Amino acid sequence: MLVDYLEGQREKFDSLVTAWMRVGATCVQLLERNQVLLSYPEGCVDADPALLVHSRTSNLSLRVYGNLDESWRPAAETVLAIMANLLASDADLEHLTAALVDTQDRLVAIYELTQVTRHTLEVPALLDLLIQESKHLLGIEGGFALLMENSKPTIAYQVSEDPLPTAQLEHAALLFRRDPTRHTFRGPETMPIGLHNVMMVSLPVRDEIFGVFGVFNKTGRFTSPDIKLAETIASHIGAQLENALLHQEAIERARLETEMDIARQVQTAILPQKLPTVAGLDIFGTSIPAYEVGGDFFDAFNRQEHALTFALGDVTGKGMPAAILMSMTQTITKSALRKQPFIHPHEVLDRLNSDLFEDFSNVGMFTTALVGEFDCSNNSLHLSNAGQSPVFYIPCGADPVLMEAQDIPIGVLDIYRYSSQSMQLAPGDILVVASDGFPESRNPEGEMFGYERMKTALDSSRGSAARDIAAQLLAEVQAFSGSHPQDDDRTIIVIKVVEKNEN
Amino acid sequence: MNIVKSTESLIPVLHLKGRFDAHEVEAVRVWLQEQVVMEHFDLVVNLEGVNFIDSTALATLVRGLKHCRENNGNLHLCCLQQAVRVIFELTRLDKAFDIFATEEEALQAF
Repeated sequence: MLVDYLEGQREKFDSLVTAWMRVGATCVQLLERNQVLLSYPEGCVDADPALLVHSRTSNLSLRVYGNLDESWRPAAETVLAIMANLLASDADLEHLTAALVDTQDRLVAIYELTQVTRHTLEVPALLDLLIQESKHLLGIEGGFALLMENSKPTIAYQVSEDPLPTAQLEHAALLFRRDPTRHTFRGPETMPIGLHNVMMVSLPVRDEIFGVFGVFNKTGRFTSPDIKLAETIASHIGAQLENALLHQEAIERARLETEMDIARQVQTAILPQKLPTVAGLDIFGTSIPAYEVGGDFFDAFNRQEHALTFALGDVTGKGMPAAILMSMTQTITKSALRKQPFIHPHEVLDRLNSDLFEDFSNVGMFTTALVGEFDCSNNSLHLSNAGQSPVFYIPCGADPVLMEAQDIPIGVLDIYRYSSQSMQLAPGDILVVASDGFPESRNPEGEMFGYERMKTALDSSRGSAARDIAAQLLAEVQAFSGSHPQDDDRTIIVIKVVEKNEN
Repeated sequence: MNIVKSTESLIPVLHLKGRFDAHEVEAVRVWLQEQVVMEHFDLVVNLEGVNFIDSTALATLVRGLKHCRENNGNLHLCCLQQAVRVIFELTRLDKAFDIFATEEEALQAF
């Protein structure tokens, strides 16, 4: 055992022992058990030692030949103790050096791993690196990494000459999960076929994911340093995996936001950019979608110089699907109102129904719509209402009246004749056309804003300009809803007949 | 929302109870689909327990109505609460659907 260190100590032994020669010793030997380790001079031939000293702390002994008596025993014991210490220190030093070199080796490997993984954000590549590095450091046949999340299929990655079925790896992983303090397992009783021994450590990613990093079939046993090393690598890779997952999620979110953003830009662009100015009328219209994109549409323009043509509609549903249909309906309605001649507003609805019925049926949706025209030359209002509500008529000096639609929404029945109604308006009269997002707004207690509150709000603001009437109603609905989020789009057109000389 | 399916004198009847809105349409859509597959085109939907209906729910009923009518059948509604009746009147869907006061009348009208 100590043979390796002897050469280094031969000089020291020789120098210790030379002094004995001058006091009558002929030869001094250092033995381990009965084997001669060192001898000065080389090759003693004397028969019995004059002194024989045994070490109490090791298997070493010292034999002194020549004519020395017992009085030299303490000195001989001292020499033996010194030699024993020297040799033991040497052995320790050797061990520590080997351990240090080993550790340095591993540190370098981990450093290289961190450098390489810095540039990798793909989960499979990271797991591959993890396993390759470990194979190199631990002398194993193969390695695997499993990521298990509730109700999702296990992500399994394996590097080995003879890959094992994922089910077997899961079996091993579950054994580890049951007792996370136990890292090593030996076959064949507990292990599936093919795994002679396996060491597993936790691969920490995020709380919901149970990650295991395992290495298997090492010749020899897995040691404590092996486990520590594997844990170090796994924890580093785990952090990288978390980064990779976050990165993937961020990209996905950004993509969705960009799409919603684009959709919203399109929607904003096709809603009226500017409201027309018509002598004798104070007009305002706006739409506040519940989500980034909405299913309500409205339009207002001068078809003729002294007339205001307007429309408002509400496609069933919200969010992206309604937004797509809304955009289509908006475009067709705008085109129908501007490009196709009509006398009565119901002709527009007849055409809309005929154009849109098939598409709406295919997606199982319909739209309410109101088309109206106000002729300033004679203050007449003509309306055709396909299920749109609420529509309030606020006559000057009288209570607001909730006007019921005459006809069914667009896209419900394919053969349907829409109808128009006409009324005479006087200065100070107000027409408010809105979508049901107003009365159906709820507060945290589940109460709905309702038609009565809407009627009251409009009644109280009737003296204000069209823009302020709309603003006040929106503010009241918002205040009523409190912390309850906006469920449905809120769209409104306010048309107020003013005195001609007020304009 | 509570859903109960039954058959009365060979006609499938769907009883709904609660708030009928976008979150609850799936089950109704599935039931309507089942009726199409089994070639039942005369249907009754009993809305006695429904206290609120939104446009997505209306769209689902409209879709069912269209399928029935395309196959020479009909979808009758019955027992509407006042709040729901108002919504049908405001949107004028009371002109598209045949609405009855009781389930018996809805069944007999086929």
